Amino acid sequence: MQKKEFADQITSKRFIAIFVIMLLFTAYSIHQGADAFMRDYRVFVQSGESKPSIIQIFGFLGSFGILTFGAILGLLMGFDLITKEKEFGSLKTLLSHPVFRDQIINGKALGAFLALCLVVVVTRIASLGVLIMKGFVPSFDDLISIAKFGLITLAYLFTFFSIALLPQQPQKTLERLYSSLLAYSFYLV
Amino acid sequence: MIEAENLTKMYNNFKALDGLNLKIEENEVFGFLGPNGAGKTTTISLMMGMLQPTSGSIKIDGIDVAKNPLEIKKMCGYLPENVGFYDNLTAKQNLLYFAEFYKMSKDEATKIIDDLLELVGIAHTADKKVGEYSKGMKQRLGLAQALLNDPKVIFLDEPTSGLDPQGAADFRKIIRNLKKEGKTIFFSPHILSEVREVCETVGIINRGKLIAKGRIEDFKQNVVIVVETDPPLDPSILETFGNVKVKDSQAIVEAERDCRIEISKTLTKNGYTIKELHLTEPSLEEIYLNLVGGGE
Repeated sequence: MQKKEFADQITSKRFIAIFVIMLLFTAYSIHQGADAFMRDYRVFVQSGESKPSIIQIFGFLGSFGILTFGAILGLLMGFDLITKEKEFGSLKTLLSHPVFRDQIINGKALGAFLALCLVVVVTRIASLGVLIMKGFVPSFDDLISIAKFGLITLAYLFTFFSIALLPQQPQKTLERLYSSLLAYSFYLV
Repeated sequence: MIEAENLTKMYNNFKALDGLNLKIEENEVFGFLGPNGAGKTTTISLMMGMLQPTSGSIKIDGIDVAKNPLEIKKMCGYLPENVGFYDNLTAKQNLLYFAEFYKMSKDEATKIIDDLLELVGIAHTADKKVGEYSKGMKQRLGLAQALLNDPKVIFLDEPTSGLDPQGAADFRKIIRNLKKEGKTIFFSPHILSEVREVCETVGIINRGKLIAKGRIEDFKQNVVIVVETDPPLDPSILETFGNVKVKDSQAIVEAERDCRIEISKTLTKNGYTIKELHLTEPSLEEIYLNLVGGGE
């Protein structure tokens, strides 16, 4: 089930479009961030003062890119996942087979989670690639920092996905309206 | 096989089903008739365990639907009205996805699916995306989907809507073959004439209440016998058979049953030559309109 959801996510035009934009954004800012990091790093090597954080390579735009496009990606991946199935009637067909409603939602969540993992892993690998191209070989600690940053990013993206998925579950219209508003205000914040 | 007791379903303040009682035997082909919004689809959804009844219970093969919806779904097949699929997947991929919920290996599923697609006549477009399918083709795929788990009980909600005449005939043939295989079929027909061709028993629902149920033969009310003789008939002779009306040179007898032989004997005994003697039965449509119209 999650296999299909994962495949659906990563082959959807919406996902690919946002992902490409995000990737370009990240690549550009990592290119800049890596330069800044290398500068600081050389200062560190010469003077022995505080070691610059590896996370710097993601630069301002990298973080900003994740904050905006990442949030949009998370929301877009989730907001019509169930309503779309209702609209096309496939939910009814699906429910006529022996499957629990929870299983459907879990499958969707897991599929989206895997797709988001892919997003994070690809952007992290891209960042490492840029770094190595610039002639910096990250230490084990640096890799750990990058991985940690990746996990936080994943949690951030998945939170937005969950916010989008959540309001599709309760049956009552009013409740749905409130939670959509809540999700939207979260996004604005 | 299917037993519904005192089934009631409320949607907010609207009573979609109002104390419905229904019993369907094993291997019966049951036609479920009723005007739009009478509660047909609601009944089927309740029987498939997709909705919870407000009160009352349904048992299929002795299993309580509300308590064990998953068991019911394992042994039932359902073709919903306006059946929907994943448009981004091919027909085959769609069925393979649904097959994941049953205990069957991928090879087994592939074989079953190939056979089913052949049966419903879309094997040649099995690898085409469902988004490119016409309504009729989706309907055919819907039937294949409903038969995926070799169900004991099959619910068909307007299965022939959107089908071309050939497709509709194919569907009726498939339904008759399923009956031969011993399946129980719950069928909500799109057109009334299909009922006579496919179903053995019929139930008519109106405003959430079952207003009639029985074998099709039992529904036939009074028959009408048209008689024309030479010389013109004296209607009083036939009054023992039923109500007689004279129209032009014909006498029209409303009898409780087909009594053409007795009429013929009486006429011959009285020296009449019979020019015409035929029976007209009310069509199912007339009966239906009578019953449903009577409820309003």
